[in-house]
Amino acid sequence: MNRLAREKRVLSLSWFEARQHFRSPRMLALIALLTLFIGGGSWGLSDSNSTVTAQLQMDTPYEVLFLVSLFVLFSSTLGVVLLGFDGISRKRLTGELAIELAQPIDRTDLARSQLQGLWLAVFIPTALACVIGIMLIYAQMDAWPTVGEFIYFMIPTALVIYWYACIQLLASSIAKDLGSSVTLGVGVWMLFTLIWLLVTAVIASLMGVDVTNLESIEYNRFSEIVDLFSPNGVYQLLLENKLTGEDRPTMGTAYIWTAAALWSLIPSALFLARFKRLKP
Amino acid sequence: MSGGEPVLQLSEVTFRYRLPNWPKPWLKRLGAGIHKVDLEVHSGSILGLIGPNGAGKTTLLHTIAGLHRHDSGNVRLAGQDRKMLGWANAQRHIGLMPERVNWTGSSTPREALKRIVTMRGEGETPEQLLELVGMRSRMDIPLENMSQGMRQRLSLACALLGSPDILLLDEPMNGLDPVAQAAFRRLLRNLADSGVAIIVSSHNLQEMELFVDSLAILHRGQMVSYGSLQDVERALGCSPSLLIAGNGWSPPSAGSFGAGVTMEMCEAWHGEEWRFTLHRNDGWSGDEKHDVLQAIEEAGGRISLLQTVLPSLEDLLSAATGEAADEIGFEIASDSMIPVRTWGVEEDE
Repeated sequence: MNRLAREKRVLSLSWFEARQHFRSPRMLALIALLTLFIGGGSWGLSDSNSTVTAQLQMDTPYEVLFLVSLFVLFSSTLGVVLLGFDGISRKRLTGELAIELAQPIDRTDLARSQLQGLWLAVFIPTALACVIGIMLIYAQMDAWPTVGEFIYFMIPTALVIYWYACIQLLASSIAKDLGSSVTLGVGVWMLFTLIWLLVTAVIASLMGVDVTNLESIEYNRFSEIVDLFSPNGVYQLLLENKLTGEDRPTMGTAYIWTAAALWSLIPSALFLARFKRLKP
Repeated sequence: MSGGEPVLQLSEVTFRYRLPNWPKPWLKRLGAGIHKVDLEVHSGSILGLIGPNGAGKTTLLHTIAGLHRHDSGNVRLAGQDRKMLGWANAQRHIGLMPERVNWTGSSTPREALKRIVTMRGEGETPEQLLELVGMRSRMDIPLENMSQGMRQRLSLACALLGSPDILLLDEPMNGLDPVAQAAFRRLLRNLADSGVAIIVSSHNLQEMELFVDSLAILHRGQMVSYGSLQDVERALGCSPSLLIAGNGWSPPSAGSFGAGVTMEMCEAWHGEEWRFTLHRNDGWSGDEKHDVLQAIEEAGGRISLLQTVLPSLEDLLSAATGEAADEIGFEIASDSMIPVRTWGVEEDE
């Protein structure tokens, strides 16, 4: 089978996988989350009467989108956990994995189809929610983000969903039962989404950085470096990079995109390697 | 074994699971598996693979199917080394039906099969196969609404995709009612007649006897006996017994039925005056059975039941391993493999 035919087959299988996710009851929960967080966030944050904090500017549609990214980060990554925490472990438990692994298909292709299927299942509704979000922003501010700004916003969004899809499927392939699938899936999400600030503060404190003033330049620089080790952090840095003035990250663009490239390569390589050795 | 060309040959195939070795998880411990298994399966034949729980039946099937890479030994498919065939080519020779696949989700059998067809990269239509396994009227119901019997049929349809030369069926009768089991056996016989080599695993010897051509007994990961049912029984000294029941006569001693015959009286059932079993080391031919019946009837006995009773799996395993019959199968073989014949103790990798 030539390369083109293989890629076509992977795409077809990814679409099969994504369609299964679209039909699952969990998708209803994801759609509710995305509507509430991204739709609600876009509407509320673009309201000229709303005040968030004095430091955050919301003068342009992109700045509102940047703030909405916090809601994307919360809802879309949770969506990946919802759909993907048992992506491999469920098939292992039901016996479907044995049937799939016994087929004459390269295991890398099979793993890629699982990964892309999960990514598509979360990215498509997220992208739709973001399109609705910019319409709501327009309704409030009477201004659209430029096409370039919207595309720039969607690229890191697609990437962060992909990183979480890799992490979730890797965790699911390690888990032997549903309990450990949930624990690993939710645990990883909580670490990066809820606990990372604490992790950053503890590491800063251990390294002698002043943590009594979290607005200090020294702490900000330090937290930017630590953020490179978190998918959420890299996502935020990528989006901040498009802002102007003081809101831009202090570190160079090359560092941020290198971190993004590594986050795209390392978890997926680990998942593919794990899948190749997978036993039903 | 009878049949055509050998399509599958295993010589000294060994595979052992790797278990984490706490508190040093990077040093894997060798666990249970299969040990130096030799097997030859011919096209058009049905091989029954039997053994108690934990004997290694599923591991052996998964090793043949390529889901486990064997540690040592040689697997040949259609006369060629598995490794030389390449992954995809080797997989095309084999269809695997795993044990009790619990198909879930809102998609349908037609879609599930289409997905597997896409994985195989073949242009087969799933409808024909679903019809073959008796699911024509159930092609479009949600998977989660299917009964266990339907799930088994769908798994079989997956295994039949691509018309494989070798069909591996892991406990296929589980969840099937007796009528479906009979239909399943007919289907397997038809497939074998069309040249497919079939390996069926089960822990039920009586069920196997109905349709297999040869038998392989697995215990603690090792092949303890292999051949036709008669060969296995003969090799292990476990021939079938005759169970006879009736009225109007008092059973004499075993000696009156010929030399080398042992008799064991059983509790008579309702409406019977006597019930006993007769056993000969060489089993019972048709003529010998006839002689026994004639002897009873000439003495005034009226026979209400005559049944050939196969040795149980416990009897065969007991004969093969030398262990007491009531101890066999009580302890499921664990990762600390106890040698049946020649296998050594656990070792670190």
